[in-house]
Amino acid sequence: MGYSLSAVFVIFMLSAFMSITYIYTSTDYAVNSITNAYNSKVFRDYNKLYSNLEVVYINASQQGATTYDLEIKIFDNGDADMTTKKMSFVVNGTLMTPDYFDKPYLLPQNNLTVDFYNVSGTGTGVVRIITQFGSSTYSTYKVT
Amino acid sequence: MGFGTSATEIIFFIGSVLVALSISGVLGITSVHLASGIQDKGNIIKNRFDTNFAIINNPDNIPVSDGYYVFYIKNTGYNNFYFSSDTVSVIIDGILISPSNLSFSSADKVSLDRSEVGEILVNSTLSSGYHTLKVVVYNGIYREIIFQV
Repeated sequence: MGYSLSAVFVIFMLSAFMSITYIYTSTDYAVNSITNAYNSKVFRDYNKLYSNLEVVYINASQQGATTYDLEIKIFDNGDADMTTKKMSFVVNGTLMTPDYFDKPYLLPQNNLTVDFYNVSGTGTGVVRIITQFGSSTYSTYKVT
Repeated sequence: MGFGTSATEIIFFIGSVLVALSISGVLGITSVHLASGIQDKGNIIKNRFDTNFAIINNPDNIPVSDGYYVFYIKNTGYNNFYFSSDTVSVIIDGILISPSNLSFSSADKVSLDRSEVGEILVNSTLSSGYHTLKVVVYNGIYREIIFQV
């Protein structure tokens, strides 16, 4: 009777220890990955909230009958560093890739010059600039 | 009589051990299921945190290409996500657009990488005026815009 009880006790204790260890390890892993993902999201949301672009200069100079070159100077008036190649530009409703950036990164209190060559269209236009964080700004221009 | 007592104790011992092992086995299997569930749920929550995107069209100037309205989707999250009619749903004015009327375009034609912009081409007839576009990705994260045609 004594041996049986001892054996049962040992088996139960080992089993409980292994189960608790396994569950703890899994929970710890899950909690860590959620915490990391949450922190990463907070960082991105922070960057989105504190990214503030201003178009300080925009010039559309006519080149052909229906084409023009578009030059945009953007000022980073926010608190987020940006990778210029990760920015997106929607010119008159159409996604366009700039032909020229004057720098690879846009840092706070810095200007960025972006050029588009031979854009089709005449009259007035609208450009929407979207950062890598999803925030955006608009600017209108007139082809001259 | 002495032998009988020993045999009874041995049988009792073996029986106890077998019962204890069975209970431990059940406990072990339950623990594995529980741990697996915790990890799965953790991955689901992590995925939701890591997924983010924006519809970046100019809402009053939606381009049309070969009869398809073109909507631009920018991945602003941490995860790449599959970008096809199997994983992304498009709802316009509350009506689900059939996958046969959708076309997806991205650099690798499979997924949308971080910071990449992909295109959803929608074959639909829209009256002039305001409409609502809702894009839902694989894990239920969605974005909505009101646009004008």
